[in-house]
Amino acid sequence: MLRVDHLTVYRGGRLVLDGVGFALEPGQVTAVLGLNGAGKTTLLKAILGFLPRRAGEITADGQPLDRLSPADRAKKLAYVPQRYDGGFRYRAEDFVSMGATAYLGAFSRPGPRELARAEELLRGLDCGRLIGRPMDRLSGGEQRMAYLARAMMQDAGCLLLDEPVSSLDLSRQHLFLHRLGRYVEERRAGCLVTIHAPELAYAYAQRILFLHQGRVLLDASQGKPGFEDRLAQALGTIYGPGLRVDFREGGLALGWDHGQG
Amino acid sequence: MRKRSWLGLAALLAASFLLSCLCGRYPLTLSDLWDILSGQAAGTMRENVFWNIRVARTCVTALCGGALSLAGFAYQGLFRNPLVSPDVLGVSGGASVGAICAILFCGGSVAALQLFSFAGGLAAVALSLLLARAIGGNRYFNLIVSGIILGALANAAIMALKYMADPTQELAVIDYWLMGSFSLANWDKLRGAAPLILAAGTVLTLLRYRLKVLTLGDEEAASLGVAVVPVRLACIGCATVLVAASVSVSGIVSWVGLIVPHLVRSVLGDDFEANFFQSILCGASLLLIADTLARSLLPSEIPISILTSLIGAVFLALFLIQRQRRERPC
Repeated sequence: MLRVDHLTVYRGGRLVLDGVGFALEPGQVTAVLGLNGAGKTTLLKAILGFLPRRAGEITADGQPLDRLSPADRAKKLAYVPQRYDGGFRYRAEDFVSMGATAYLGAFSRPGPRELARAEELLRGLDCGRLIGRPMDRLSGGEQRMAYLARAMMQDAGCLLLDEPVSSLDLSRQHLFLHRLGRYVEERRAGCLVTIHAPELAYAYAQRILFLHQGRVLLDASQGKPGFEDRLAQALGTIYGPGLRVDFREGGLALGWDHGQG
Repeated sequence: MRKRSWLGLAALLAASFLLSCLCGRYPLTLSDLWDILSGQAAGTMRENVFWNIRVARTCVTALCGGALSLAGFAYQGLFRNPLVSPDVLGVSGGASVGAICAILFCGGSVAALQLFSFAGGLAAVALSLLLARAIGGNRYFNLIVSGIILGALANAAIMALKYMADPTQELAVIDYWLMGSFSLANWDKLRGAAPLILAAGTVLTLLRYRLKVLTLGDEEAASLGVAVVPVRLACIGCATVLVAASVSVSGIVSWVGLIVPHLVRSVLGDDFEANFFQSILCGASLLLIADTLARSLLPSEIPISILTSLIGAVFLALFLIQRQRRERPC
């Protein structure tokens, strides 16, 4: 599993992550919350090795990630970026089959077997209709599903997803997180997902990490005593006293008091 | 549908190959061709023209057309931009400087010209890469800016060298080289360029799937398990060898590397790995047709870049207008 210790990252001379540490648990979705600029994306990119770090250690299954070859790293970590930005056009099943890259030789490419598996994965996500369609013509929700299928194809021990639902409509947000949770549980994978909506994190993540001013303000797991109280307190700290927090019928409801001013 | 497009491309290449072998100042007919191939024309002028001039020139042209288009396709993939030309890192400018130096300082022998222009093209790209590394930061932006800088430097050198050249003789040779021509193509040139082009083309063919993954962007490609920097350097190196080797035999042939991959994608549909091979076939065919026109249209031969630029620019404009029309709602 993925383990991060004392991760410190500067970007443009500014301290963005200040000694962040946690370890993922298999089969659990861990949501990372925080304000814009709190360092959520930086955290994912530093783990993936896209950003240099000042200090800290990142290991997967006990092995330091920077000592692994790109292919071996890809077998440990799968990544779903914030948005689809393909310069070229690929069919959805082609795109999904690229998840197999790490398992192919340097000069080989996905064959009929990988393509069949890619189509099977898309159908398993109820996205069979995407087969044969170009990625850049899909809706945001459909693209996310293709990304999820690609991450499943990659079959990595851990998934890192950068705000996968922030551009989706309400029903697709729930659909995506539901499918993600089911896969993570079945695969016994670790999963770190950055997210803006605390309600969605509460509904779908077994564990919540709050990033605030470069540090972990809260690291709490569902079902532990005092979880709701600690979450409410952290939400208050981050979003200010205007936030109203209610837990009812197993869900989290948020509101806002604008006061008299 | 897919099979049909491959058959069509193969037929186009075969037809343009045949056309290129037959047309020219000494026209050959199909029955001449039959005589030559069946050995009935042994020792005749027809046979000599066919084997020593036409076939050699046709092979060189086809090879260069395929190489330039494949290089353009690879560069477009590497820069994730469908309108990048193979000159983006300064290969043509460097090759021109090398060629002009060979003309001015080494007597302009064919071998020196070929060697110097090839080396000049590689050197310009190597300097672009080093400059991009020194600048640091965003990779695509850096490389493009470095290419622009190297291109400008090469241009300054070209102008300075032309200024120094003897206007009655050397200048004409330089200008002719800069406009490209296959009129001097022969078996020797083919022997010089073909191994380089075939080797670089083979490596690119082997790496084509990795190149496809790179078009997703560096971060996604790395997260999928591609060793981004080595693969990119190998692809840039091979694409540069393709351009430098073909430019070294023909002089500058503009627009083919930019327009052919674009045309292929638009007409035959986006499919990275199919487009890879389609670009080679289509580039070879189109350059053969352009070269056949270059030596048939007027009594004296027209430099090839005049035709490729004209055809390329008109084609691109017409195509973009037509596509715009098609996608408009009414």
